[in-house]
Amino acid sequence: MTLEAFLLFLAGAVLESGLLWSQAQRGGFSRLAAGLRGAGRVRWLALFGGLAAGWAALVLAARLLGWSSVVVSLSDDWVQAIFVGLGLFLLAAGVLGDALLPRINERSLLTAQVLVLLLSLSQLPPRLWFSRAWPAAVPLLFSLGLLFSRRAPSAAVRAAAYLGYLLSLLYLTYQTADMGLFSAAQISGMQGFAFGSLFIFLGLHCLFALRFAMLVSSLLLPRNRPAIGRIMPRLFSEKQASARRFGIFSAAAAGLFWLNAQFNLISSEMLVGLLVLLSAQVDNAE
Amino acid sequence: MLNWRAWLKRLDVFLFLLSPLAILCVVVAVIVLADRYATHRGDVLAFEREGAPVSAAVFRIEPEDGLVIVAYPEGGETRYGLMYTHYYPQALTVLNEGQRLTVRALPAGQGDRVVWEERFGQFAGYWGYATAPLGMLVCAWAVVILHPEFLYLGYADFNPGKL
Repeated sequence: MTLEAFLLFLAGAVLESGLLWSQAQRGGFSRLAAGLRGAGRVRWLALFGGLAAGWAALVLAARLLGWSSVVVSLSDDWVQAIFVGLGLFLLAAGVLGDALLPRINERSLLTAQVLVLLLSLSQLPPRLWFSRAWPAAVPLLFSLGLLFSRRAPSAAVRAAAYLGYLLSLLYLTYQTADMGLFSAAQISGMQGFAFGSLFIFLGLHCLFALRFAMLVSSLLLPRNRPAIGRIMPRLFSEKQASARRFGIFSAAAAGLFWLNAQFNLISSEMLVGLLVLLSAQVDNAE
Repeated sequence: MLNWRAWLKRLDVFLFLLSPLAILCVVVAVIVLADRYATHRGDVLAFEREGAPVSAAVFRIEPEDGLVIVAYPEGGETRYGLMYTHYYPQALTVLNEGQRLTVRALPAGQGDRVVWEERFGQFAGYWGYATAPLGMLVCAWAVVILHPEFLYLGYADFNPGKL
């Protein structure tokens, strides 16, 4: 990866961390939208404008100094130090503390699982669909059960659905985890930026998945079941999705997926990752 | 007379105190398992893609290290390969010094390890590396199932009495 793409990778990672932080603390995009409409507009614009201008100046300076073609690699000490810092930040703020994880709802969960299933089906020949795509299909079937049962699910059932969501993201990471992208010489700034955002989003969820899997397994003992109700409202909104709106969302996502495959704009894995990220953060019920 | 209830209560308190360590053990065991799986998978892929079968002779057998050293010709010289037998323990009893066999070897510069071609399936399907971390994972996870209180730390008010 060139230095220029790495700077944009870091910009994506920092922006995604900031949005996750903002969402977990104050309502994220809705707060941002309200700020842009109301009295805080100048402050928000100054903050984001300043950040964007600062980063653009860095990229420009790297280009003018002839550093933009300098190749950085994972084996460089300073790059490793940045990754260790990012990892410790994710661990402290997102896994040990609750300062980063976005609160999702039934629709964003279903959208993510449909997209992961679409991605795995698109990568397999039809004869292998049943034998290989089941890790993506099983959590989706469970979540569809929630969608069509009109009773509000218990905290334990929502915990199982949320675990299915985390497992889908793990499966997506397994399919897209390509640190080889880091050593690719021809990676555009756009790809670097998207890679940085996805790195934070998927890394955070994969790290949290182990902690949550332990929590869900503890529900085997009836005495542990009441406690899960104390954290599920923080992670998973109780608001149920409408089947019609979910259908429209899925059709739109499938259309976008098909269009991207036709015109080969970005890799399918990256598109699915970005759509999952957007569905978890923009399509967020308060 | 032995008071079982009191002993079970003490054991429960002990497991509660042990649970933070058990959580760490689960994390470590998962990381070790993933790392060992990736290493073994990488080895299998390297031998499948770049390894080539060569005819070799058993040079020396070192049972205490579970190692069979084989010699084979390469580029007009004799090259020595290390064949670890934990993938196929019967090799130590079946093979004798001087005996000929076919091994799969990597190109020069990619290590001295070789794999017994006849038992390549056993090497590829080997799971022995997972035994120790899996044992640790199961024991630690069982403690976590009994006492998950520390897992709520940071996401709920920490009050073990209420959880």
